[in-house]
Amino acid sequence: MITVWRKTCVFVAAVSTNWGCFNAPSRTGEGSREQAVSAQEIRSQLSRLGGRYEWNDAVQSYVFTDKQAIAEIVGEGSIATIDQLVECLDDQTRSATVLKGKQLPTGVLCREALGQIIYYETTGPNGDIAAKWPGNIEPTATGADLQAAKRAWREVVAKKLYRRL
Amino acid sequence: MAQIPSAINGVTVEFAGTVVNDVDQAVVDALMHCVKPNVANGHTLSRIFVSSASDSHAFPSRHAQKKAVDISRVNGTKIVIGYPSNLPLKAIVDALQDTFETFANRRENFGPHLKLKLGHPHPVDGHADHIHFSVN
Repeated sequence: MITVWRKTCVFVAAVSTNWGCFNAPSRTGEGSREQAVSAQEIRSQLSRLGGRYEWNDAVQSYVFTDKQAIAEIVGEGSIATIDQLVECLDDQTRSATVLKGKQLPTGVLCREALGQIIYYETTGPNGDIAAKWPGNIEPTATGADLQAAKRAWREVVAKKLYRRL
Repeated sequence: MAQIPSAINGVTVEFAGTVVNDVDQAVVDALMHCVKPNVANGHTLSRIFVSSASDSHAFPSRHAQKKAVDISRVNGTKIVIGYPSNLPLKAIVDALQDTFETFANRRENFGPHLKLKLGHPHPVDGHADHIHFSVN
């Protein structure tokens, strides 16, 4: 999957360069289009990524088996990538990633990818970290959980309340 | 108020571009207590990355009170990617959290290894991706 992504990047960059050579005044606009195409491709790449979630006693949670592959896909995580991942959070299309043999929604992979770029801490009335925030979901999340996560992250991203990891 | 230094006990401290490095002295004392090259037996801590200090959080957050710090990378690797599979990183993260528990002024100690508040289990969402230390 990583190889396919790299080839895609090269192809898109090559197309953009060619357009820029023939029509220099439109380069900024074409650059934006390139960014959008790349962001769209991220969702597709994540959906096809594969791998699985396995229970880990040390962290008392499910852990994705191929985090590095996601890191290769999202890179540093541009603003466009963050936006695209947030919009993808409620995507319930079955991905190639499994938990106990069951295919997971693509939105779970988008949350995994988003969580490699940024985080958010919500605060309780006494100033300590609040126990719950709907933007944090498990890979077992329901459709309603994913929709709630999308709403929560949309607000955080719109207000730029997140921190980069 | 105090600033988190760019080196603590010989460990390089890197900062996200958005960090406002203006904290209570107790935060610096906590880091001086925990951040050491030999904090984990058999592994060397050479770099930490501070992703947040007194920035990006609204009052009454401990961050806004200048009493909290977040660490999201160890030796150049994101905790979210390396923990728990990267064993040296895991050992260092675990040791940092364990050592913070021996700091007298500790308050919140949240990360992939522990979720403790005032020394007691305190389950909170998230924090598999960074360490959050706060002080009283």
